[in-house]
Amino acid sequence: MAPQQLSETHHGSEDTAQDKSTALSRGWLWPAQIAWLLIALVAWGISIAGLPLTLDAIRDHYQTNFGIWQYGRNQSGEITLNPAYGEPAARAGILERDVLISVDGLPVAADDFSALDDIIPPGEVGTPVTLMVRTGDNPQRQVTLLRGGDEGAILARLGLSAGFVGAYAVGVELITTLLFTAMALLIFCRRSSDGMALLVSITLVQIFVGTLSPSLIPYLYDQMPQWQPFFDAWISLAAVLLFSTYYLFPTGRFQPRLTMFLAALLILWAIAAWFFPGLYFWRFLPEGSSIAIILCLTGIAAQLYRYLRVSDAVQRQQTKWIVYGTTFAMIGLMGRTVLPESVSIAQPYFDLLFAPFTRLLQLLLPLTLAFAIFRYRLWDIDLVVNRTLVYSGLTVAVVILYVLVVGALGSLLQAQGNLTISLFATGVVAVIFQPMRRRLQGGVNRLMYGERDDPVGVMSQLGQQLENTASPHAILPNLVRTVAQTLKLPYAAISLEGEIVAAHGQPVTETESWPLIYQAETIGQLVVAHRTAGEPFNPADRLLLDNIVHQAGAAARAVGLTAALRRSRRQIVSAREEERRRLRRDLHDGLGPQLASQTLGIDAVLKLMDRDPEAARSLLKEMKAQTGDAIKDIRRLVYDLRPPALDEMGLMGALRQGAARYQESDLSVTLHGPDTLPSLPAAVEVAAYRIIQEALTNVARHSGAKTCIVTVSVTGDSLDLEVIDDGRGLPPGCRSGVGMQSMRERAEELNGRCIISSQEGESTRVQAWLPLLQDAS
Amino acid sequence: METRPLSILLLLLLTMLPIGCNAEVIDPLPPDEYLESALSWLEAHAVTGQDVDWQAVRQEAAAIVPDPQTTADTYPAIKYALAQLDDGIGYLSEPPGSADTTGFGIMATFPEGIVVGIYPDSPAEKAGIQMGDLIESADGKPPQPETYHPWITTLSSSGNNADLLIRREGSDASLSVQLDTAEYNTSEGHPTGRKLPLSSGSVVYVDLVADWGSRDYPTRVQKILRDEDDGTTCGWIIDLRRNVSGDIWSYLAAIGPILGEGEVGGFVYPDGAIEDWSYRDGKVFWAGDERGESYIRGSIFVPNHPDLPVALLFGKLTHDAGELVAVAFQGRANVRTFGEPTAGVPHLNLHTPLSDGASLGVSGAVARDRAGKLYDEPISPDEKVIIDWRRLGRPDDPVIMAAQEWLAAQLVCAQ
Repeated sequence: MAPQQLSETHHGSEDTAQDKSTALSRGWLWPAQIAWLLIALVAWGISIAGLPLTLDAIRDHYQTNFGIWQYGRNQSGEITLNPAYGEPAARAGILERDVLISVDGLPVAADDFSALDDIIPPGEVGTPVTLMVRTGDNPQRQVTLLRGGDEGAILARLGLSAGFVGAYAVGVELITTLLFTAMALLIFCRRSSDGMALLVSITLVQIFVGTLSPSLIPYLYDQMPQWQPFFDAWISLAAVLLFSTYYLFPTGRFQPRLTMFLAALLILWAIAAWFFPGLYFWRFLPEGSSIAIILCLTGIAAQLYRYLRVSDAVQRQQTKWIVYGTTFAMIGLMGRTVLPESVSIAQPYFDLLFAPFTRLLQLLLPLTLAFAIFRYRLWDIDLVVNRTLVYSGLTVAVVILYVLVVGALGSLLQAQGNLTISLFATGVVAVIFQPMRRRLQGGVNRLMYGERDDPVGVMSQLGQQLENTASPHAILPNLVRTVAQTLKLPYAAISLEGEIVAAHGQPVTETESWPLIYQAETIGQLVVAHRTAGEPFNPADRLLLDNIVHQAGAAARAVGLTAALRRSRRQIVSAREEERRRLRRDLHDGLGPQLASQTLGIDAVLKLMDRDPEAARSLLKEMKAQTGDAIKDIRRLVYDLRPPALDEMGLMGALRQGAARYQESDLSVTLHGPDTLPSLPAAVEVAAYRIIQEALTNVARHSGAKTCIVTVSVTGDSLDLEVIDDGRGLPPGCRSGVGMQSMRERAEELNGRCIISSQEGESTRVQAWLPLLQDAS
Repeated sequence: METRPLSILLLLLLTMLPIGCNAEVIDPLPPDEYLESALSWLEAHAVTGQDVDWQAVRQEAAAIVPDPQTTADTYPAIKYALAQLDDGIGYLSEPPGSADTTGFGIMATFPEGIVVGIYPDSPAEKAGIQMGDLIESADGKPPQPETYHPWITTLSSSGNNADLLIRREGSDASLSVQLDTAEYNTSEGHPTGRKLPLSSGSVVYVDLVADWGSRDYPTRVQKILRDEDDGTTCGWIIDLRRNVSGDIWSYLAAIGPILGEGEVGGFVYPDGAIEDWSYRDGKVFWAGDERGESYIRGSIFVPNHPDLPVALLFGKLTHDAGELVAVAFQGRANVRTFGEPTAGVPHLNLHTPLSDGASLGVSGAVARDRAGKLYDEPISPDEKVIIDWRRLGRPDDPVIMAAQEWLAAQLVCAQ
């Protein structure tokens, strides 16, 4: 493991974690490190010293196990027996104080022994031993026992020897010790400058290697009474270390302050108990167990207080780890101590399966502790929780399935313990196993991460959402809702041009943003919050969000385009109405009254013509002037509708005429283009004329340019326009004015494009492409 | 994926599962061999076996069960043999599967019917039955004696409930109580004790109730002794009146610090062999072997003053291990006994498992005290005081009062 690398691959934010030493890191580290090594050595010593005892005890257990002891000797010096109730010897018919005459045909003349096993010739478990016994003065009788008793019989059927079980137990113990040691040494080497890490690692070794090792209790503690004061002190040290760790983890400060007092009390108790062994609370009853429970409660309360009041997000994650590890260690511990007393497990299953399993469960605590220390950002705990859920669920399901199959077949075939049935059931389980695992994994993943592991599903769901959305403004809200729900995120939002346009959930502080990109243009952001504080996205999340963003970019772009389309359509309609109103106003308010007054004038002239010709003449002159005005008005109207020059001189002529107007100013306009253009659609002519006119107006007004080149050309199906000046260019951040806007609109109305670009300080260039082919519409 | 090894391990474990689920059942001996082994055992070990004509017993037994099909069929024949032995102890019973027994949780004297024992958490306790209550009838009939302990009744009922009529002291009317049977722990005794003031000084009273070897019994007794013993203590009252049976080694471990060190008694077998009981360094030994019952949680009680006088109380309920405790105190300096003669003869209750799981018990040895005196009849108290069962353990209990009076007169207390 390379923790530093791991943490660096994540975000930059925990670089500080490497420097974040806890409060227990001040000057006394040197002696603490020495103490660490001393305690660790003793722990390993205890563990190793107990291994041969464990081996012997287990081997003896299977070697003997007849449930029979020597009672003593009778008056004639013969050995008498003491069978235990319910044990194999009693069931085989040996009675209390029967005389033992011979074993396997050999007369018993040995010295006193305690258990029968001591005088039985060694042999493999399950092999028979023949005893000759006698009750009182009655005739001798023969009793056959199987070596190892009932449990030996189980082992024999499994094809295992007693020595193997012993070696196996020692092996598991050795592996556990090695793993704990490795874990603790790793912490020691990596973080020996951090007092908290030292405390945690030595607690691991002291408790899990030195104290909870089955070597200490029952073997060493009970078999070496002269060492009991030392063992008692050792166990009290375990209590001091354990609860200090509870009170201090993870910051190294006592929080709440009360726990410092408790820790001091514990240390005082440990010292006092060394002199007054009556104080060791595991030695008195029944208050001893309640003291232990109260102590545990203080530890839990301290951690709870820390979690609720003190910890930041990262520390809470660490507490989560500890809770996870402690829970399993406790289950392992209780399984080891409580369960065998309340549930009867055949010794071989205890030794082969149960004991190693509980020991390995305990191993989770150091693992999680190490994780909590090394990865200050604990982004993998979810994986561990996830796998635990999956495999415990799987185990339960498999066992149920197995029991069901074996039970059903057993009752169907009236056979029990049949190897064929169990093999068949195993086969069934094996076939169903993988699909079941996949399904469970999927379920757990959905529970924890939403649909993260099904990107195709998420994408198609998203696609469907987009497809089924009736109104365009519902697209983005639907999109963020889908993202938030499928990925189980507390918050998701889309912002376009810095403005949040759609959001789901409550805004939280810890968020990440993904840019929405369409055609290489960033059009907005997808803002999403982490599932919980301090729990950043993992690569799978990121990959899926990247994919979603690609889709969302297109969708957001479509929404923007739709809005723009509606806007422009509205503009067209209103522009047409505006035009009509102006025409009507001009005709109705201008020409109409003029013509009406002309009619009145003509009537007056008719009346005056005979009576007062002079007045009629002057009236006619007046009317002639009025008619001239009316004609001017009509011309203006017509010019506004379509510049007459276009009809008179064609586009090039009209442009040339327009360019000539700038001769008077300082601007020299050069027009390039063919002398004659093919016949162009009227709308294209007008648009081209107006765009160039507007561009030239802008050049004259704003650019300060000396020269300006206008190029008109027909390429393929479009009329291409270009206006380049040598002026100062567009100022940065310049917002397009009404003129520029109208140029674009005129081009776009005809499905063309108009691009205004500028090199700052040099020139401005207006380009427009106007398609010549009108579509059918 | 990393799931593969896990999956394989799980499958491997599964294949191992079925092989052990069916523990092998060893068949018990055939019925005729079974009967013969039981009779042989009784013949070999019963103290009262010498006077029995075993030839005749075997013939009669074969006549009682001519063709036994199961071992249970032979029980009447074995019980016949026990009846011939007539040692007051012998029994044949299924071994208790667990410490929990189904019943009402009540113990009363017979024939008086006075309640002298109520088990914790038993139906009797929950129904509010009190010590000293008089049971007038159960299901309309007077209480019946126990088979092996005819001086007590536990109302063992064949049904699941019993209607009791109870008379409480100071009340003329009878109470009707209905009890349902339930499981409760009958093997665990709950000793009690208190300090009784004298005109000068005080004595510590301990009710050494019966217990069948529960692990913490000696610790509990010593906790009482330690709590009550102070500088004013000038004597002990040890009450065996409710000690109907149980584990002698537990009792000796409990009161060993008062009993004193050394050999405290022994068993004498029919063949003349002797096994002594002794208490040394806080441990109990039987024939030189340390007994597991010696276990004390914490340190062993040490009295403030050694060798204080002891008043020992016993009566017609005191039996079996209770009687053996009384024997153990014989020969200790400064002991006086009060009450009524004990129930039986202080014997070794020797028992053996039979191959079908039944338990066969018999008087296997006679008790002798540390001076070597053999006991072949009930132990009589030094000072006979009629026990008033309704006032058992109360301040006005005449036996306790007599004991207090004697202790007050002792030199230690009189000073």
